[in-house]
Amino acid sequence: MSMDTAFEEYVVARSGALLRTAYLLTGNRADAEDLLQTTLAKTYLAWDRIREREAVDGYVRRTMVNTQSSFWRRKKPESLYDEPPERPGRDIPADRDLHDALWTALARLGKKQRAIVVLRYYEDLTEADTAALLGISVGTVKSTTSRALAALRQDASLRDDPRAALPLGAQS
Amino acid sequence: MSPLDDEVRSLLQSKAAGVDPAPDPLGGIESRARGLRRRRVLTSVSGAAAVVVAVAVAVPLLVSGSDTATRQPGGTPTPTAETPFRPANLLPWPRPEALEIFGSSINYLSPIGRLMGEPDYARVGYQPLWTGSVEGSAAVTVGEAWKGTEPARLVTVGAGDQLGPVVDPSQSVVAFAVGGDKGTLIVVAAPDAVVEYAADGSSYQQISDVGQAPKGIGLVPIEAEDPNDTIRVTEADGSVVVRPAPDWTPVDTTTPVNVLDTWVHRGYRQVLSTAAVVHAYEQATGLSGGGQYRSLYDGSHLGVSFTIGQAWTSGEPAHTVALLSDGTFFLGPVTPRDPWLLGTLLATRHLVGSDLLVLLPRPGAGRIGYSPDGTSPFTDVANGRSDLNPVAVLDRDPKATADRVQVHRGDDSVILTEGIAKLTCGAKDCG
Repeated sequence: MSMDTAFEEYVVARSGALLRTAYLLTGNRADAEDLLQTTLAKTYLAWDRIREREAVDGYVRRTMVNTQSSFWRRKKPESLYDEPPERPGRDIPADRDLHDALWTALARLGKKQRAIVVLRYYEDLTEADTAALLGISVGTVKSTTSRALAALRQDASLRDDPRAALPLGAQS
Repeated sequence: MSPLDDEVRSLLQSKAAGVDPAPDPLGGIESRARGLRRRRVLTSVSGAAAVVVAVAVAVPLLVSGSDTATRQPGGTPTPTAETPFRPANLLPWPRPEALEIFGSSINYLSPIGRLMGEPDYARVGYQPLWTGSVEGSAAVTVGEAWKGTEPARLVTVGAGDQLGPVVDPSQSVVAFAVGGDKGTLIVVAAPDAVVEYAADGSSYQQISDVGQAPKGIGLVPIEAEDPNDTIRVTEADGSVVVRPAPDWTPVDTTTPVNVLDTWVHRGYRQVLSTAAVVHAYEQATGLSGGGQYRSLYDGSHLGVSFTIGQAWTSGEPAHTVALLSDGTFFLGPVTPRDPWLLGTLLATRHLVGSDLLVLLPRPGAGRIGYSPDGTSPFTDVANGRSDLNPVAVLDRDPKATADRVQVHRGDDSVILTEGIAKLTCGAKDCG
């Protein structure tokens, strides 16, 4: 199995960005690298069938999310984060940064909710693109996003933070 | 107080920005792919009995043309389900075996999706009517495409992609004229029909079942200036249909005078496809027909590939453009004749708190200086990497308004001092 030059170029050009997405999906570096490598291996096996290079990113993202779903089925969420998420109800340090609290709260989201949050707010996909990528309806994307944001706002990590009363922003 | 979704966006961007690239991104992929392949072989062997049962059920569904049947011509490499819906207005002449010429369904579904405004090709339904090669294009497919539960529309891909009208099942002939500077008329009729063509409207010659044209398919080179040409189709029951041949306008392949054909390509090998740049350019300008792109520089920044060059359509001057692999597109002004410097500015989500500024001087120019506020001294910004020299790739403060660039000749005399805002203003601002 000798690697296709175009595939090598794609990996070299895009692995940095893809690793960042994988990190946001998994929450820690080791699992992100594992997820990315599995995703790229699957892409490599399908490479000859993906001739239109502009479509590769979409394929890889879809494969990554689907692969991560299977990872989720095999692993407990608590094992997925560099810093294990705190249990609800623990005291929040007064100086806790809002980002730290949000990161902890994100770790407690369900697998679909987290994937949709990453696709919508990091990858900047539209609701329609997110729905197409995950194979679900636009309505499901809307409702899941809304529930994810509500869960974040209600999470114990943020509930006692004065900034927790953040209004939900536009859900475009 | 910021909305929560702004905080989430900010959090994700800052967390992602802290992830360093893997030192050896290619390492381990091959061995893992081999493992996956072995696992798939084992799985397919153990699942053979189930496959037999599934085929026995699926075949009657497909043959009956049930609305619930699921089709996937050409083996779309998508892990998600495709559209099961089949519109009621489909014509009864599909020739799915011909699609093998494309190698993969992604090669025709992706452009069809773009034509129909559906970015996810897996959601596009397609029924081919004819696929083959015509002069000037190795692979052309004519067929019916649909998205969601909309009626099917005629479409052709491969030689000037075109979206045609909604399919009318009462019509017994589908005719398309395709091509760039040379045109081909493609007529699709019932498989047992005889297709004829007359350039003058009366002297018919059979164009189906001759040469590479199979039965029921007519192929003939056409000229744009045939106002009287007609198609005649004789069906198996003896009924005859006569229709005017569709018009076709040759694409002007003349290169615009402002194309910088003396500028050598610099940087890496072009990774982003020319078709992607042309598509983005046509979307941004609203122009179409004979779209072309010439890359001048290709590079990568923080793991994101980009290409910078000139794009144009038939008969129009070339614009300076840039495209990132994340889809971010820069439409610059009409490229000046023989400029000393081109600049592109891209606001991309991969950069937090800065924009990507690329300064591309005329080959042979000397060093490039940059002043971030217009008053502080110019500092050299083109680094010494052989693939970049003297191209400058900078993270620019999005709030900068007075920053300037200075280009030197080879003898170090200043040849140009220019404001970045003026250099990189978009086509709509600068005309």
